Amino acid sequence: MKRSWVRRFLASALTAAVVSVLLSSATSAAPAPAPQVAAARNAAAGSAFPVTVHSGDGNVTIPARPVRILCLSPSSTQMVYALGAGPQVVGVDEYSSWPADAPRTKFSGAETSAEDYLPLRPDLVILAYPGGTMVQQLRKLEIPVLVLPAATTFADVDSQLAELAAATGHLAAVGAVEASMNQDIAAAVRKAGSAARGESYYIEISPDYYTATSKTFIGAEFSLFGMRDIADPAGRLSAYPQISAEFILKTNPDYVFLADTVCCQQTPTSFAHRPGFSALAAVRLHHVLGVNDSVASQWGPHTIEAFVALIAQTLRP
Amino acid sequence: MLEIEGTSVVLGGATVLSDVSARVASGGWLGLVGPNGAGKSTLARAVAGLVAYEGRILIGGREQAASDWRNRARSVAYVPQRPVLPPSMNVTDYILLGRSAHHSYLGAETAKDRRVAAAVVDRLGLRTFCQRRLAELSGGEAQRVVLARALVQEAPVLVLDEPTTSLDLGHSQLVLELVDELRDEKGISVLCAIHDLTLAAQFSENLLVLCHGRAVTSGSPADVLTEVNIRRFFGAEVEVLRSDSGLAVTPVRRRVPVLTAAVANLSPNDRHMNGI
Amino acid sequence: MTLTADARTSDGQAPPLDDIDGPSAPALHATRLTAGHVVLGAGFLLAAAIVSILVGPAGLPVGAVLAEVLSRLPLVHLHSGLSATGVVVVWQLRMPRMVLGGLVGAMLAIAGASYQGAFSNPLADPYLLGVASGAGLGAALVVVGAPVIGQIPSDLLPVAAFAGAVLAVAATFALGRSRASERSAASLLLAGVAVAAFFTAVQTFLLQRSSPGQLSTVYSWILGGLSTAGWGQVELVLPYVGTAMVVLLACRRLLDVMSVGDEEATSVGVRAERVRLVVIVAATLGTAAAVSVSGLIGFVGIIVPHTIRLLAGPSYRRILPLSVLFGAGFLILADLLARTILSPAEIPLGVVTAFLGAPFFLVVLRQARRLG
Repeated sequence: MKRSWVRRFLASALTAAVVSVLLSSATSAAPAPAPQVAAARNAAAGSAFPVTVHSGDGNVTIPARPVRILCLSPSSTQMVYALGAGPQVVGVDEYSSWPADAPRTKFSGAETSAEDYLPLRPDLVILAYPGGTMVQQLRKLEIPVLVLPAATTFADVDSQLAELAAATGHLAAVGAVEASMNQDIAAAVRKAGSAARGESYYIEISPDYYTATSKTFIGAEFSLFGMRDIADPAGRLSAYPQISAEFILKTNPDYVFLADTVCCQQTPTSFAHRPGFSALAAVRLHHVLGVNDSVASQWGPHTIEAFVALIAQTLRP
Repeated sequence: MLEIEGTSVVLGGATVLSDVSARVASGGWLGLVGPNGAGKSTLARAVAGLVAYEGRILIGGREQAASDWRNRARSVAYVPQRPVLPPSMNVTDYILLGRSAHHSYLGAETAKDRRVAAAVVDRLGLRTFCQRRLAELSGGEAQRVVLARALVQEAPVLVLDEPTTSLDLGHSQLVLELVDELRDEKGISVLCAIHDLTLAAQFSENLLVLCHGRAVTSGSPADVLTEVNIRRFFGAEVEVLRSDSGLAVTPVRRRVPVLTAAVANLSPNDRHMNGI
Repeated sequence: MTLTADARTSDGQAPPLDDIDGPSAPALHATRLTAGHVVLGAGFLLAAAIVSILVGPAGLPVGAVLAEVLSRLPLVHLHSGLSATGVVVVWQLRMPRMVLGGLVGAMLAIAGASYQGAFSNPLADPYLLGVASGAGLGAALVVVGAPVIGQIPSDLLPVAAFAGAVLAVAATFALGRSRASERSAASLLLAGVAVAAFFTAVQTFLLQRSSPGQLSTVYSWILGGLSTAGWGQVELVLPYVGTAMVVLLACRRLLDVMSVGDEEATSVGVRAERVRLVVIVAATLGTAAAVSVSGLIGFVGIIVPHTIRLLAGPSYRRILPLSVLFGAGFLILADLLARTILSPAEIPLGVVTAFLGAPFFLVVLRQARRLG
């Protein structure tokens, strides 16, 4: 019985991160648009830097335009490159798969010693889940660090884009990136049309029936289409609960998306062969789709655009 | 019939027993006496097959080491000095453990096993606490229960290692009397390691004295237990009393202090110098 | 109580040892497994099994489920009225899950009881000799090594867990064997602790260098669960678990003899070291098989035998067979809790047994204190 990389520990980290983001945004003096206001002020004064950006549990000041960015979060990598800051990047984490020509390093982003990053001489480090006292160590070394944990809503994605744009000096590009993303989303939703209304789905994170509720980011992507997550009743304690095969048979989802194709070699065929699943509507109608595991854990523009297109294609081929 | 020939035991590099020989006829009783650390317990365990030995130990003419465990259990019954008594085990179950070598290896005890055990239980007067747990027994009762377990093995040789150590005089006599009667009836050869020289004298047919792992003398109690021998082997001062009921070895306190012997060797002049 | 009165019969002659028959000598009663105990255990198991089949998120009507199950009996013709999906839920999901839970629970319980007898230690169970750490290392190796190896069959994890468990216990045995019989039990336990520590250290090292996804995969396997139970897995473990249980049940009387220690057991004709070896091999193989399909479900091997000991006494002639019945029922009920408390979400089974196990120890402690 294999289990995939569910990031179950991320579930609790996610909850903690969401809570801390909410708390900090509630307690910080300036509301969300502050970074743009500060940057605009600087721009008006003739220079985009230094700029103060909201990060994790506080604010961070970036003194000058960074040209040696170490981006250790796949979703942030997508955002940085979409904003046109690619030439400023000297290293990305080993799991960043887009773009393919980004300078991949052997770092995972969970390192606990800032010394590991020093050989790259970064002047901005972007992390999603820093390990140990990494943030404090980088501060002592006077290297600006931006902490951008998982988004759970599209509003989170927008605010992270804005922060990264301010931090890298590409404020002008935010509008274009967001517009492009919104266009792709709108096109996909239009294409899916009425085919999506009221349809239910099951997103499988691991073959032992760990799934994601609509309160996760991937759930938010499905919600764009008005689709219903069968796992919502199980989400009282966790946004990534474990359900049972029996529950799936009972709720009989219209669509099944398998996000455990890479870790656990699951395919629509192997799914159909599980005891009793041949009777599922999704199996009979060939509405079972395997997707790359990373869609369940990334929230960058590239992932979003690809995934919503995939959903639309599945709903109305 | 138990024959011990030239038996030696080496434990942890040290020679604990060295070339010990003895013989116990059917129905005989050989008492093992000696000072602490003489090797009495080791010899008892060697006869029971619980420690490796060199030499020969024959029971009924058969070499012990050549038998398998079940046959050994059927030829030697061993009562240890400090038996392990699982506190919540039932007395009956404990006694029936002794029948393990008689019924099938994986099987349970048969009706015959229970009959034998019932007979032993009645003989030793244990009927009233058959269903009690071992933790509820007094020292004397527990010792009789352990003896019962050994007796149900129906072995021709019974080895007792200090059976009276934790018993008062009354219970000691009781236990030894029981063993004495049973060896009479069944022709059991008894090998009994014992501290108390009087009891050893009263119950043993023959005695074997061990000292530093060697057999230093053997023979009837009257021959072996002399004041000279006891002083020599035990370093103890005793008076051996002979009466109709047998021997009694009584410790004696001479009123002369330990220094006397040294003083007796001084010249008169030195004595005067020391004010004696 | 007089000193000599009981030792002789009234005429002063001692009767021969085994020549007493008939009503003059009332029979001795050895401790046996009574029919009452078996009925109680079987009843508990049956009740747990039935409730387990009837309850589930599919919300199938109780009567229909019962009718469906009964209709499979020969000569019984009943129409259950369940939909095709309902039939699948009952026979392909709930039944194998219940059966697997029962097999795993029975195996863990009897293995724990057997180890407690073989080592005369109330806290012994196969996990102690390395089954848990070995299986965990096997699982970690497969999960972490997967990207390196490439395409691997998805059922390699149970095999690796099984192999790891067996290897760990073999290492324990090789290291812990001692010449002196009175030390062999203690030295085995010490070797087991050392081997477990080493295997766990290797596993921790592997996981520390792995990706977050791999980490959580192994972690969730360690928590234990039956969520993917199917008849295939039942077939996989049945030969090992069945054989192990038969062998261990056959040794139940020998375990009673072991309670007087190695030396005295040997003196009454039972080779303590050999019995211990057989128990270790059988219990380990069975537990390794169970763990390979269910992950590391803890506490069953301690809770169930101790509860039976409290209620039915210390004889292994009762504890072993009753461990099978009550162990099976216990785990089926624990699995029922795991999938109903937060329904439709599921709690890992190992978490449920741990929650049940901790207060259990307190109860046992209080009991032991009160009895002095």
